[in-house]
Amino acid sequence: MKVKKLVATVAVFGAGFAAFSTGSTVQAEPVSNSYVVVGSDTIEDVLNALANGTAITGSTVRVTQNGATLGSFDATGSPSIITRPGGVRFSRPNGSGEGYRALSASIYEGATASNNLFNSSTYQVIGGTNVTGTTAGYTSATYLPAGIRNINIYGQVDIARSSSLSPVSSTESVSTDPLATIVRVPFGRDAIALAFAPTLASAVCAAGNDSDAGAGCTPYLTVAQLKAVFEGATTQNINGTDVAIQGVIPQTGSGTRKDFETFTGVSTNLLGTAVTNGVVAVSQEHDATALTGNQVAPMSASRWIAMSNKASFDKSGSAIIGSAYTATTLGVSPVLGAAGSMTPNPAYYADTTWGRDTFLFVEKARVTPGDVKYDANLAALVDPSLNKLANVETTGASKAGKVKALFGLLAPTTTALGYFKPAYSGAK
Amino acid sequence: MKKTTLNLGVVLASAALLVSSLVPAQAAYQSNGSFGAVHLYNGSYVLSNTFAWDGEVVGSSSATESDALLTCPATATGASTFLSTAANTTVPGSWNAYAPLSFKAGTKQILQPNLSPAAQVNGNALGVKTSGGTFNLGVACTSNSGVTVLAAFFRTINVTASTGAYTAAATATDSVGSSLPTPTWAVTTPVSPAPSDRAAGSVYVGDVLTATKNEPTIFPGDYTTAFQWKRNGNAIASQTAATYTVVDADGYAKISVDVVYTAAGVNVTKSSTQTPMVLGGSAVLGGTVSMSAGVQAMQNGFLELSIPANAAATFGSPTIVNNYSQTTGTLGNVQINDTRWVTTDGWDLQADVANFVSGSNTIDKRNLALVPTVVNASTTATGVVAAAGNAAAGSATYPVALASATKLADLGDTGITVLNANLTLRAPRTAAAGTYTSTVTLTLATK
Repeated sequence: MKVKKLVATVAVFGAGFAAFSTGSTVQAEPVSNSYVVVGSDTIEDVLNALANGTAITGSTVRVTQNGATLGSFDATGSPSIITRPGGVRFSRPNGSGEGYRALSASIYEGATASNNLFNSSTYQVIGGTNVTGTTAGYTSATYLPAGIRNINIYGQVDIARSSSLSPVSSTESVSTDPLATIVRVPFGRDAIALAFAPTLASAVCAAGNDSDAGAGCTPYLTVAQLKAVFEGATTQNINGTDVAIQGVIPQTGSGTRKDFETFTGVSTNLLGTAVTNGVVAVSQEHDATALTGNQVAPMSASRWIAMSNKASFDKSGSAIIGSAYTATTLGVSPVLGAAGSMTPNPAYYADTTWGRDTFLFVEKARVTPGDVKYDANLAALVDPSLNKLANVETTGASKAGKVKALFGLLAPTTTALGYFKPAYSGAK
Repeated sequence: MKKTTLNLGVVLASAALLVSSLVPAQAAYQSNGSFGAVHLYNGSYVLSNTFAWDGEVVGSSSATESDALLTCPATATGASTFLSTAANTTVPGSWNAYAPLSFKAGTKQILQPNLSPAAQVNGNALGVKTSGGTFNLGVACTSNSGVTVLAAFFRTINVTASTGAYTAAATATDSVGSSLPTPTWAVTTPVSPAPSDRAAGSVYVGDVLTATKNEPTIFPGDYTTAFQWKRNGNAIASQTAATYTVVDADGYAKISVDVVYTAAGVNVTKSSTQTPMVLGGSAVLGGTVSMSAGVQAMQNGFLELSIPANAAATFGSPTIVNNYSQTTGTLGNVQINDTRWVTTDGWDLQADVANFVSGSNTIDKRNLALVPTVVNASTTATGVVAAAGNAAAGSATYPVALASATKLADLGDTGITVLNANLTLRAPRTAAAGTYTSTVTLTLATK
């Protein structure tokens, strides 16, 4: 009996070891056993928390559907992912735009990476080789090495996270448009704030752009100042004082970048030139650890809150949170309270420009009752009346909405659905 | 070295105190074996017992607050929500479905666990939905990386096959230990006579009895148990070990053993069967019986004379006796109810008689002889004595005493006295023939 037991134990260890060693070389992450969520960095942590289970409210909250867990994939990490058992390996969608493109490609069989789906200047990875893009205007069809262009990711993505109202330009449409096969569901309200390197924060506050004067330093810049900086200006005159400022812009495809460009009215071409010339730096969004000297970067307020409350991995570094000055925000701090118990500042989030709703995108047919593709489970996941992904109730510890609140998201002001066309050329 | 041991003892004691204060009064064992009551709330945080398969449902230890915590034992290192058959409640490997659960930060407590069967993502919840049946649904507090269930809070649910809609049975505190086993006893060290010379199952003075408490199938680790041996159902002082040596005083008595299960502040006693009458020893049969009885104050009643409506004495046909027209009869039963149990005052009954009349003719009442009697068969009161009455017709005087009850005499069980009287009417020789009528008036007076 004793001998038998020993043998059994050894066998278990052996199996475990074999599985581990195989997994580490073939597949870096677990796959989803139901729906796959990709896209925005901004809301990846809160969505990961909901999909993977979190006890941040005190209760264990996990959004599952019909006995199955979700798979939410980070915007960054290993360069490529496999999302389903037996699925293909494809580039990890980094940000709202790429998430949206991946969802688009997932909807139509035959859509491939060569269909200009991943119009990213940063990478496309297959087989362990990281290919870095160089110029704007790049397309995967021409840039990618032969043999890895035609990646068919049909059915590999179900939900795209987005921090942007319209993550890919010129895709928004109306419900009656037969080409509008993607629907947008409100998720939560975020705001774009600014992360200042400590030196710059002190300089800006000293120059008088401080909404928290006397009690600390909450630096702010005007929209005009931001536009100038991100179009290549290196100094700004603040109340008579010249302050050196360098903009740091999130990577292409970032919803935060897209929104920031829209909110400030910055010229995409001038920004691109400034990036090329090194006047404006590029970094992964919501990572303030590398901000130094006179740098300032757009920062999701909700991410800042989640990081400060340790709900998210803390990448706030030593940066100082500040704000964009508008007639509504008046430069007030986007957040209230100290780290650990930080909450959104409704006064800042309410700004119609700098406050922004975040969204989930899904294929319209799959959430439309009566359609042949209707999937009641997917529809339930994005039904705001259920305690699932779209829930915004903050009344109880078991609610997904309560989790969102602790991750710095308020209830979205947009409640209507939006209708969008897929983001690739030649859509059916 | 001795000092070290002492310190350790102190530490352990304070730890134990901490545990008892951490486990609040919430945990009252349930009749289905649950460690404590779990109340189910729907997505609007409204208490309910019926749910759709995928309906939102959270558990709470309170029937009025949806966010009351469930407290796991301090030794728990993990928790799960689970759906299982009753038999597999403590067997995680055989649960039908389950999902991982986190403690509230810094505690061993669970806040609003998601008990929706559809949220039990591991295992085969859909199998339960398909088959339907009776299951346990709740929270398990675990140790050993989830292998050992230390305690579980659960409701018994009845799942409708196919739809998966389910109803939870009402919560019910287990006050009688219905989920706990009954202890048994056995003679483990018999004395003379040898077992082969005994009647099967007999117990003799000097035998050693050993109790078996039979571990509870659910959460044995949660209970502390204590034995108590009993003689004829009465605890035997200081006999709380697992074994008991039958003593002389047990001769002709029956022995049994109790196990007291204590968990989460709830004590439940389970008793073994009794042994047969213990044989052997020097004890003799016999003894004294002490008595004690209560007395309720009686309420004093009333005194009442009861004469049937339209009562009429009956007489036979007249005959000539000693050259007188004479007729005899009886008055008929009259009843006296005396329920003055407390005062027992006694009473006197007398009779008066009117002259007999027939048209214009009259017979004087002195011609009526009236001799009262006590109808013993109907009378329970004691101390009732019939008077002599008027025995001689022609010289009778009225009113005349009929009967009396002695003061302080026992009224008997009912306080009823029934009286009658023998009547004789001897008409004067001069009286005209005819039918004469009269009345008797009875008067009852208390003494």
